[in-house]
Amino acid sequence: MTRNVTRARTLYLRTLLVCGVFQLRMLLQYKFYVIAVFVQPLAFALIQFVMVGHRDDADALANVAVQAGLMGMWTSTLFGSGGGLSRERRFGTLEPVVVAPTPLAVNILAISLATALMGVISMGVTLLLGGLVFDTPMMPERPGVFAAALAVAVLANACLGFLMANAFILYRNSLVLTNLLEYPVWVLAGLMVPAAFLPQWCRPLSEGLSMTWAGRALGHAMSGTGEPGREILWCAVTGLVCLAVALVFLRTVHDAVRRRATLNLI
Amino acid sequence: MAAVEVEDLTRTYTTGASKFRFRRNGRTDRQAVKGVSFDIGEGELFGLLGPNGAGKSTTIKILSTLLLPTSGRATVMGYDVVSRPTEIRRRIGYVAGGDKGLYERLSARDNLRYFAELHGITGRTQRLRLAQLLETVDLADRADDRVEGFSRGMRQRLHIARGLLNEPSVLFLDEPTIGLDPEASRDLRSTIGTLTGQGTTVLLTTHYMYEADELCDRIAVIAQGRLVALDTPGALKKGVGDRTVATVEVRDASAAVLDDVRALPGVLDLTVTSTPTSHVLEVQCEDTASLIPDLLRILGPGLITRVDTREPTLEDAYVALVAQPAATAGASL
Repeated sequence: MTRNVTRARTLYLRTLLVCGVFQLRMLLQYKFYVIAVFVQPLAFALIQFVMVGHRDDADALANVAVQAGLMGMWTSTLFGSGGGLSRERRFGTLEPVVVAPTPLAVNILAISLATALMGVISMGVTLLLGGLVFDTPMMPERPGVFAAALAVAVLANACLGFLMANAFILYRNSLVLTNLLEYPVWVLAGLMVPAAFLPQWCRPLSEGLSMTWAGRALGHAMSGTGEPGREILWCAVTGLVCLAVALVFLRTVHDAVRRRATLNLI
Repeated sequence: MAAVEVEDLTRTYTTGASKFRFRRNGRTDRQAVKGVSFDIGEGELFGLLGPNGAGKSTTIKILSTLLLPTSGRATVMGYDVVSRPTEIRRRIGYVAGGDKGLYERLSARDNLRYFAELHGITGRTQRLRLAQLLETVDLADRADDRVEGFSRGMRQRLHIARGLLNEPSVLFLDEPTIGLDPEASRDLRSTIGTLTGQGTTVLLTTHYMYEADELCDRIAVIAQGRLVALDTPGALKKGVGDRTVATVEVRDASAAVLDDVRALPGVLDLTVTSTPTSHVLEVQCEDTASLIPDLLRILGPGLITRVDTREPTLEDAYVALVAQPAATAGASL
């Protein structure tokens, strides 16, 4: 029994990775999406570099690059997950995916993971901009910790995208949510302005977001200060909470779409 | 054990419902399937016929676990469609007709690979099965081309390959030959015949009567959500055995003339197929011998180019069944 469960989990993990690679390949063929993933963080990073450039503070500039990269990662996940599911609806592939015996969660998570991985491009772009254009050292003080924080940030982002994907499955018009959720998360996660500037009542919301912890961990790994280990842990925990909630919610969503017959409606 | 058991199945769609429960303005309930019951034996090829909107696709979607029934019960290979969807999904293949349902920007092989992964088919088994299926559906030479450049027939063939990936015990084919050229349709019919020969149970919906007649062991006819007939193709044809069909080709026929034909005593049904140069009238009647002189008189002998008579086909039986009111048709079961 235990062996069967372990075998099934290994198979699901493999399916997740293979389907994730296919989804990533499909995403890379949408040129406008790829351009958005490149250009948007570049624009934000440029504005912020100009704003803080006069301070001659290398740590602040490095932090700007990281925050702008994370903004791009969130945009990629948000629009990628929503757009990915809209595409599945438009192509009519949601039905055959649901009819397959692998849980729907694996396929949706594969889409979210692919879109979050695209966010790594954003991070790379903003770090390159800082290094090449603004002549700021963009090598992390703790490269291993930075890599670990980035990996956890991608996974946590994918979990958050997965949670939102439930709404995209249930409500075909929920793509409008993507426009509503972009800026609030940037603000709450302290990517546009430091979270310390937020009103007191916003703080619990801010601390509940994995992006907040990812931003702090990556910033500290860049500057070699603080406790990035603890922040990576919190990033992972908040991501796992999203994953757990999404898995529970997806069962309800799965039954709801079977009841409402909305799976193939565009 | 029956491969598929359906008992008093109903499905109601609610459209235009208010998001707020206390407001019910504009909410419309439409019952698409109304108390349908049938069984399909293992290895049987079962046809589900009916006009558009009759409830065929809804029934197939309930059986393939895409939809929940509103009431009634259905099992596939002994598993309940409501409570055991995963067990059913391991054992079925689902092929829907039409252009959609494929990843446009992936190749045919990658589409199959993607779904093979979702079916837990990996490694060497996957490679061999993909190669074999691409060969079966005649897409081996286009296997690495993107689907977005495929014709409708090629997409349909790829759908079929995907439906067969997991070597299903029960295969649901929802209008599988739609868009296929005659040769491809014939090949598919041959494939379906082979599958049932190997013990696969097939539930097929189609609008092509000759296809159902050629392939199906038994046929259920659904009209307005109700089962109006369930029998072998031969028995269904015998059910309209008291009819014959007169086919008359005329160069011209006005609406008034066609009304006169319909009003003739003994005429049960009239279908007209028009071309730019002629009209072909198919008149179902009780006795062609007594009808033909009246037809010649009404249509005008100078305008008639061809007259012949034939025994009823499955299509005639189907037309007779779906034309009669659903309430009285239940008696034909």
